[in-house]
Amino acid sequence: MKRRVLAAAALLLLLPLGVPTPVRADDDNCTRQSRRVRLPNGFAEARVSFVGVLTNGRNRTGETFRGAGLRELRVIVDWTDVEKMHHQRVEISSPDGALFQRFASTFVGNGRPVSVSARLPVTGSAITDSGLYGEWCAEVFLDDDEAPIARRRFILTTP
Amino acid sequence: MGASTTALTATVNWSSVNTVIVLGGTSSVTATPNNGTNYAAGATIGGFLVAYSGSAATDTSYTQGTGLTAGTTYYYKVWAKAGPVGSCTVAPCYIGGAQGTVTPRTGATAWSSLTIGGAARNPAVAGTGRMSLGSNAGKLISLNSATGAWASVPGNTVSAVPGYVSVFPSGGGEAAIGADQSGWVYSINPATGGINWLIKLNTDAIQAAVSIYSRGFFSPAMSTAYPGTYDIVFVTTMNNTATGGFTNNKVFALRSDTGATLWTFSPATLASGLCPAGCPMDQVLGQPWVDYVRDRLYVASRDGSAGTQNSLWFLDIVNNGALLARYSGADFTTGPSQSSDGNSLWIGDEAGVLHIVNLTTLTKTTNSIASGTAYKGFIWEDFNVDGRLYFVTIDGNAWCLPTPASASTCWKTKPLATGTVAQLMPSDSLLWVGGSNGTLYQLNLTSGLVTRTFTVGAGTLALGLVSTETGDELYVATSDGALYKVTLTAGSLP
Repeated sequence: MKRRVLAAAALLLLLPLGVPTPVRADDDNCTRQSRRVRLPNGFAEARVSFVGVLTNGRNRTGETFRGAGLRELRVIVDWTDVEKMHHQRVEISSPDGALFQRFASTFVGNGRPVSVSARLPVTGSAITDSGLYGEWCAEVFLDDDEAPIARRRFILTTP
Repeated sequence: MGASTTALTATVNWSSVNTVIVLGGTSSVTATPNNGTNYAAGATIGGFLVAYSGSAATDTSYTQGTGLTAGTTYYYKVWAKAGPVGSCTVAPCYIGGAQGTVTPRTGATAWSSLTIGGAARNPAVAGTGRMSLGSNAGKLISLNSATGAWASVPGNTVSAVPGYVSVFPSGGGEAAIGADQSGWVYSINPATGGINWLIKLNTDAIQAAVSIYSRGFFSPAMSTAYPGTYDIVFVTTMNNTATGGFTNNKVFALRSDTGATLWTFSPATLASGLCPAGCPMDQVLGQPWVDYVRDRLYVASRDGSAGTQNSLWFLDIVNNGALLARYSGADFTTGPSQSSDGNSLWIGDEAGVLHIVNLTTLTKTTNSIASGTAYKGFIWEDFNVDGRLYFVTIDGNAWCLPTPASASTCWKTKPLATGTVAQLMPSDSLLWVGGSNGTLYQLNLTSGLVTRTFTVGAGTLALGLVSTETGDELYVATSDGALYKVTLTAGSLP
């Protein structure tokens, strides 16, 4: 939990450097936020969304998902304004605040919107086995930044 | 980077091509060494002690053997000392900055060991003086089972290793085989951390643990079919929807010495026997079971988006994975297990139905005693009483059935009023489950009563699966990626 609070503080401290676009003003540790940052060759902004792949194969978007019947959760990062090649890191923290998994990838922007997704298996994984239900946090980092450029919570409810 | 503690000693491990500097303190390390400045051990930076300042890149650990207090959390942060890079023009240039913590504990906690970067919630698997496990940090980790320190530098994987590893004798030593969420399979020497081989299979991801058919148990028919000295590694797939993942999953049989594919079972493309027009196969999440008596492989999968696909598969290993039987009507997210007499196969499904297969006739019956609550993990048979079963369901109950077909329980216990427990591990007279509340529970196998509890670490993080090395200790991980060794007293929690 401490780590998440520190990350939240770092994000808030850095918000004045960019153009903040908070969805909610009150901070609940993983309030949906994103910021626009200046890069040597332009700007970058990211937003996080989630798509749950259900047992029946259908997709469901949103922030809250039933822990049972969810094959996997896709964490989608939509980048805007980005030019050239960059490194993306998505850190997923479990409800107890511990870092559960980190997804790293590279992408190439050309100024147009680009999406990068990561797959988090749910059913039959350590998540359902250990009952890690509750509020999770997804934080997105660009290149070597230590502060997230975007973050958003998602909730896995108890079966 | 890893950090472990046993008694009042802390060990920091790292993997770096450069020398490193380690700062330590009793609060999160906020100081950063200045590029271009050399620091000696014993100096301070921003109030934090330079615990270690290396001059040999071959060093991979630092141990603090004095001055630690039980119950106090110690922070260690490691930077590599690199040459000029980026905006840093004068060496040493400090790069990285990975921090881990240890909290020395007394009593039954023999040691704890944290490898940073993600959860490592699968059971640690015993080797010779080592415990091996996969990590969401993209590591295959082998720890010294006496101290918790790295037995070798962890092998890097492309992505997370979601299933537990298989450890088996190989070439006079041991091999640890694991698979990752990118479809790679790795064979690691746990003594050195060196990679024996790695191979990318034609799949999106692998979630289930791999299984091994050891040559020492080969039947004459198996030895004829597979001449040589290698064992056989079975790998199952979890393809995603973008590539038809609910229909095109496979089973691979690999040579343990090279990783080369011996055969592939791809039921969706079969055009003979039981599947004249192909049988689509959904994702496999549970470890396949090797039947050493009948030279068969039993695989359980999910049952497709419509819930109508086959999901229980019986393969003939001698005949290159030929399909012997398949069943539909159940959605499986765990692996099957075989009775001690070799005649039955058991597995629970997502609907709470126990499936019982007669392995002589390959006929299947069911028991709906746990209807409505998905099964979690393997079905365990009592070590002394044939047919007496133990299992856990997703609602946090531990169950005992006097016989597989029984309509009543021997007992049913929910250790936590709120929360759940992970998969169980039994002994002759007890079983243990890790709670989502950070507590380890010990149940009496006869009564089902909780006879002991043990707080793991700070008791704030959910526990994973329990394992053991000799029966005199338990290993269990917390959700931050730390593994704990808990010493048993006469086979029981203290």
